[in-house]
Amino acid sequence: MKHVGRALPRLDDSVHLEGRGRFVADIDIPRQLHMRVVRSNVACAKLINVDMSEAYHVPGVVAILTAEEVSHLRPLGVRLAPAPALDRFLQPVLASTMVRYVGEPVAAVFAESAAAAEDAAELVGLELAPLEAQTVPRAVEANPADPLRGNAAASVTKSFGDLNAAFHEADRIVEVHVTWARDAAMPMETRGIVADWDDARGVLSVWGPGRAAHWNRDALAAMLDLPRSAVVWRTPHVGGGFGAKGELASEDILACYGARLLERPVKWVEDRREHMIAAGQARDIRATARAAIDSSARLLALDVDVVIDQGAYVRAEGTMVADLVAAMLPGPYRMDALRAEAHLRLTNKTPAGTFRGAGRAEAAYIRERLMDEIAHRTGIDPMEVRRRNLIEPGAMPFERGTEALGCRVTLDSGRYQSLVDQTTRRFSLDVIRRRAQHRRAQGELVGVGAAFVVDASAPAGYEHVKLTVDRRGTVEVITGAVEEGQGLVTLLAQIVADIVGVDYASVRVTTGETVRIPFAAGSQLARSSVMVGTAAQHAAETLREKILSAAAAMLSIPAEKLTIQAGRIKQADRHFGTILDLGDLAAAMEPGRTMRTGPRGAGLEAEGFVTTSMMTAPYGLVVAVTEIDKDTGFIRVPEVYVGYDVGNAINPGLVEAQIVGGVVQGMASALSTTLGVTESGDPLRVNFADFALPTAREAPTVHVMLVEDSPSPANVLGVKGAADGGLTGMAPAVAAAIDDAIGIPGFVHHLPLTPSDIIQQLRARKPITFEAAAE
Amino acid sequence: MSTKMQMSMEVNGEARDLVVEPRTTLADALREECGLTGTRTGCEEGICGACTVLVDGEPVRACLQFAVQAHGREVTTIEGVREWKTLEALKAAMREHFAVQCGFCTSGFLMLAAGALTRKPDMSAAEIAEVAEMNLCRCTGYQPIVRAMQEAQASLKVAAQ
Ligand code: FES
Ligand code: FES
Repeated sequence: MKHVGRALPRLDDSVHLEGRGRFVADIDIPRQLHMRVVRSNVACAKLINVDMSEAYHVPGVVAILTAEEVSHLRPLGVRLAPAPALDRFLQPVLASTMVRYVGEPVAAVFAESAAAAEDAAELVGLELAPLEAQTVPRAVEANPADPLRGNAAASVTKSFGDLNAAFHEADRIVEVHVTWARDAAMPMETRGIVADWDDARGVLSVWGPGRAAHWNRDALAAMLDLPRSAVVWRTPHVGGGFGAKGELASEDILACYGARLLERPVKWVEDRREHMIAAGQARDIRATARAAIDSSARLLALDVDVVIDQGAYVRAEGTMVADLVAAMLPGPYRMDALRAEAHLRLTNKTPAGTFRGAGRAEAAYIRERLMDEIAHRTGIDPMEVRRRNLIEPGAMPFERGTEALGCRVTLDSGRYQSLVDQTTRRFSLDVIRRRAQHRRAQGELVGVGAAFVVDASAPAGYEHVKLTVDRRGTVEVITGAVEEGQGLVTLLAQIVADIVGVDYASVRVTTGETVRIPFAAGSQLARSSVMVGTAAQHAAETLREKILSAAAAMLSIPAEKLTIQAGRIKQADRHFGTILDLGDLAAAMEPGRTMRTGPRGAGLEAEGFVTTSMMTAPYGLVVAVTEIDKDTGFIRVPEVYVGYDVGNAINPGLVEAQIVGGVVQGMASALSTTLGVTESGDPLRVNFADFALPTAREAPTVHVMLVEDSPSPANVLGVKGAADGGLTGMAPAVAAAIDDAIGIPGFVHHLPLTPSDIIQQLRARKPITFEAAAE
Repeated sequence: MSTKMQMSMEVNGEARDLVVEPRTTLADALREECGLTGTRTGCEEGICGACTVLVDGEPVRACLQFAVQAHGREVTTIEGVREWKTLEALKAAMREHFAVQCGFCTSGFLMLAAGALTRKPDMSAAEIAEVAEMNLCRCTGYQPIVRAMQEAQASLKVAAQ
């Protein structure tokens, strides 16, 4: 193997290093109009009137759409696990009689320039009769201001075993109450879309981030009453997604509908403020978790109740997060019984979408906080409590007994205890703990905390990859999945290069273009490396066979005696002498009169399909060190240690990069990044100055150990996927490290934890500080 | 609407005469009037640094400047520099350290680092880290970017000896 398993440089780096990346904002089409969305500035109100008279006077304004003009467009449906019960909670394309959050689209202005659209949008007058906003997720009763819909959008329950018996038998019951405030994916590039209706051919071309390009194509076609073949979705470079991009939103529909209606291309790029009030947000949970344990701290059962503040509407993600939280709560531990309920509750906040680690990060936070509490209550070392409960390797693949996104949760493979041992040894975690103890004894506030996480990376499903070879011998990989920076292009090239026998740098990878490949499932969770990788592998194997048998026929040499090296077909037992270039073979296989070999009319192409029945479950141990400033309460995370098993790593450099990036996002989520609202529902943070994204100053040094102990049996490549690794365990690890630093187990039960939380705590216990330090 | 203004600046060594509105930012002028889209805008409020370009050799946030402020000045964008050793060293090190993920922040970091290393080639490791603190990246967690900057500096020093 020449490429797979090596940390080879990414293929698309030069494009970005030279500033040649083409993001959606970089796409301009002659005659294009710019769209600007008029948004509600009140969290909950009756919409009485939209006054456009002044806005229409702005030179360059072409059209303004309100709910009336788009009343025939149905609200956007749920992509994952749609259910009719969710219909009445879906977001309308434009608000008509009520506005339900600050940022809700009420009108769309189309103008000759972005500046004109912006100027006009400011002049659109919204007549609103404010009502009392609901900002705390309440139980079932409806918001009195908005009585037509209840607040309980959906509930998801996962359970197995006899819960009552387990709690009855328990030696001890341990309980935690935890919350995690709103956060968001917050990619550096905001959302945007360009839509172009070609009336001559009857084709709507769309350029936009497309983690679900094919679903988006079909949804748009249905909504605009067009055949599927009349919608073409292309995915330009995506400036980070992390869950915030790629699902269709009202703005996308408006741009596409506007393009068709006005017969002009339409471009929409939101500004940062819009992104912060309108793009899907995440987390915002409160949970009560109870564990029944026996006398040796073994888990008998978990009973967990999670309330998710969904905001004002249910969007394309549907109940995905609730489903994943509940299904992934048991994580890597053995237990006899589970009851996990997750409730989606509506409020007058921006609708929730997804953020990297969706559902799994929340589940890990709840569960690992509970494990730490068990350690505290029983007086057993936290790592030991985990170790006692980890599922042993002999039990793999392990049926978790829950379902997520419609498929069984199976822990495909893993040597969990061994990962704990290896990580402990590799990073001398005992020494790190002792050093922290020592520094605490000197009066410093330093702590170490850990979390064990198991992720659901690739749920069962299907993928499709096509390969083509042209006359130059260039191998092209076509997938419907998209590159969002995770390195998909590079790793597909690596897989295909090895099997076909070409240099990976010569492989072209086409992503997210619906015209090039008819179906694809998209890239939610970390499924692309697993599913698309496997489909690419199958396609490459088929391609190789085709090449060799066609070459054998052309050359009258048995296929077994031939091989492919660096794009040339050679005799396997000879070191020198090319007998055929891949390009020449491809030319000979092209349909037409020159066709000399191969199946009629097909050219040199191959396809790979994959349907898997087992999900993959990467797992890891995340250990964070925290240092707290006694005077300011400022919390620093200087070091993070991650031991992670991704099965086989196709490109360890890419995996490590994903983990390091995930760690910093996870840390930020635990300490700083948060999006709240005031009591009246006004967003507290609408720009980067207030939303404290970490900089290089806050970023910890991240030490990563990749373990390839447990290749996944779910696919031939043995890969588990890694894109959420690093993030999933950070919140509980940081929480535990803060507890440790200030010496109060269970102190952290709300995230993000701020310096003022620390200061309050330190002040409250001032009189005993001396004794505590002297221990 | 506002009256337009005439201005001229040198962009990547080429003289450019533009007619812009007074409120047009340098970032918009570069992207829309000059077609140089390598300069990105992530916030348009001076925080993220994705729009960093060099004006007379100094890294500036192009979203915070009005285009007319660059009148008579030399502007360098990511597209402009070929065979500039400092930038080439940075690019090579960024590639090596997997410091590019989505690539949206990349031009800004490169211009920031290239400007800083040119002004002060012998920055300490801590000073380099401080420079990196100026811009935001949501993908990489910064470690690869900071390491790439430090390594680029080291390789430039070796080359200079
Ligand atoms: S766009 Fe200029 S600093 Fe963010
Ligand atoms: S690489 Fe995506 S923001 Fe830096």
